[in-house]
Amino acid sequence: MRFRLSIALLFITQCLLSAIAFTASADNSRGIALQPIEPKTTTPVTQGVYRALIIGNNNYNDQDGLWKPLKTAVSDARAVKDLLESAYGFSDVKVLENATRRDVLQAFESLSQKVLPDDHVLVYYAGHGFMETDTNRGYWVPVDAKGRDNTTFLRNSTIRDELTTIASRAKHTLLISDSCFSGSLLRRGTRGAPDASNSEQYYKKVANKKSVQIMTAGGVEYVDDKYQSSDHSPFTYFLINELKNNDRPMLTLSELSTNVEKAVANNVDQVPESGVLQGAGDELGEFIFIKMDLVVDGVPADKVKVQVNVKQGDGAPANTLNTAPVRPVPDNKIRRKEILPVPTL
Amino acid sequence: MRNKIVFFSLLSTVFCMPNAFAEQSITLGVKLLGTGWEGDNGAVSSSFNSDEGGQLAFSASYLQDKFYAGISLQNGEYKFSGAAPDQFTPSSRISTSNVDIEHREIDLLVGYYFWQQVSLFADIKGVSNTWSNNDYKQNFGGLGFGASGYLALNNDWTGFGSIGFVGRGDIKDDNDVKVGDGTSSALEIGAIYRIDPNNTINLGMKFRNYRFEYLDNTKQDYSINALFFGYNHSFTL
Repeated sequence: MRFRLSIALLFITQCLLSAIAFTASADNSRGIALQPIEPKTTTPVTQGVYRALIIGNNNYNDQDGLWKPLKTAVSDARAVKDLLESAYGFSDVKVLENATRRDVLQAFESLSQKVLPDDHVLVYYAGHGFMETDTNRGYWVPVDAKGRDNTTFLRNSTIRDELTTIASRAKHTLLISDSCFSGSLLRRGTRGAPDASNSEQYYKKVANKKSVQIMTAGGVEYVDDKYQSSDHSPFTYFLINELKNNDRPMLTLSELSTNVEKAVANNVDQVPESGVLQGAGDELGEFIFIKMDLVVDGVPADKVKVQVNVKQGDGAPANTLNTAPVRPVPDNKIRRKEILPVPTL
Repeated sequence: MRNKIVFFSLLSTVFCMPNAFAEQSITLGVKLLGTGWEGDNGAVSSSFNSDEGGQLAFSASYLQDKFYAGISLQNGEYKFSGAAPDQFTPSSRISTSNVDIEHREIDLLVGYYFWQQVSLFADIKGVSNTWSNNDYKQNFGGLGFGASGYLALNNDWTGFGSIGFVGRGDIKDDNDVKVGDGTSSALEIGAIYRIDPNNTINLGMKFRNYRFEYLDNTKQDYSINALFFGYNHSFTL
């Protein structure tokens, strides 16, 4: 017992001595000292809080048997949530699993009430979609939908209205819809090609302009529920893949959608689409994904000179991005933070 | 003794070296172990098996980039209605039965992820057993080494495991007088379910084996195996 106490005391003493030595070295420049790098303060590229409403519907309970249960929508929603929170600094994320029509409308209402002017809002939907061929009306299908009774669906015009309300308050609004016929939500708008140099000026420019963008799993067509052996639909599989393997500190929706569209189209028989929600105040801005917690294989963490600070909570201060110098980017993967039990003998 | 102190001193120096950029987090955990204690007192005596027993463990760990350090405290009681582990003193051996034994463990460890998902760690382990019939207390302690690793199974589940051993440790009585030498080994395997990025639950199995050799050359073996269920909360500094 005395031996263990001695060791514990020695450990604590050693820690204190090391901490003192470090403090002293910072004040005294003799010899080799560890110096914390002062973060260079640059103008924030984006401000405001990153918020998301994520909906995944698997458990359809349609008495008419028209809406069969889905396999991957809930796991799609969970994976998107985890990724946005862990890698892209989304601090306000609401997830609806197996949402009824009322659930979705209430969530839109709640979201629109708390959005602030500089905020970035992402809405993701995975579930059944429906289109009336005679009227060309598109719908999201909630889990309490009843057969072909379209009054139990969520009409595209309703979704657009909700997005328009949110967009009237937020800086950037993005809808990602992974459902059949989701392309019917979209009215294509032109969007300039990204600056080839990917300069900070370009990102600042598009960040300061309002955007209301939509990205859909397909056009006016059926889309697949499951991609190979994954727990995801093809669209969300490649969406997650692109976001995970993104090696840039900033990624615009246009850049993301270009890659996702290619990847999906090359692997399955569907073609994602993207564009703007017209009439909602889009000013050719861009929704920008800002990567946090970069882990670059083979590069020590202290050499990755990209720091993104996202303060939690409503009305929090801005995301601050320092990008000097540009970090080396070999094959980059996100390392999920694992919480492991203490291994003991 | 000197080697151990030097070794631990070096580890703690490396571990405590501040790094202004590495992510630092603290994880707090609680674990309930439903366990059985069984073994053999040696050739001339009987085997024993606990009727019931369990342990509650609390742990705290600190992670800085690839380094981690942690402490784990376990406490539990085992009831033996028949034969129980014998007591060994410097001069005698006392057979016991129909007794409760309080079993405590403490682990102080430091580790490093030499590979992305596999770490090696050093663990200073202490075990104490206290017999209820005469309050006799016997301690075992030593420096051990192990490896731990994990594998993400999907978005929600991660498998994990660890294995290690204490190569040689001292067994002492309550007066700090040596009564023998011992070794121990442990194997743990389980799964972690991620509730959210900061909270997880875990469940699995843990197998611990002890082999004690006393001054009278008696060899006592026992194992304490457990099913466990735990909860961990982590926060970033």
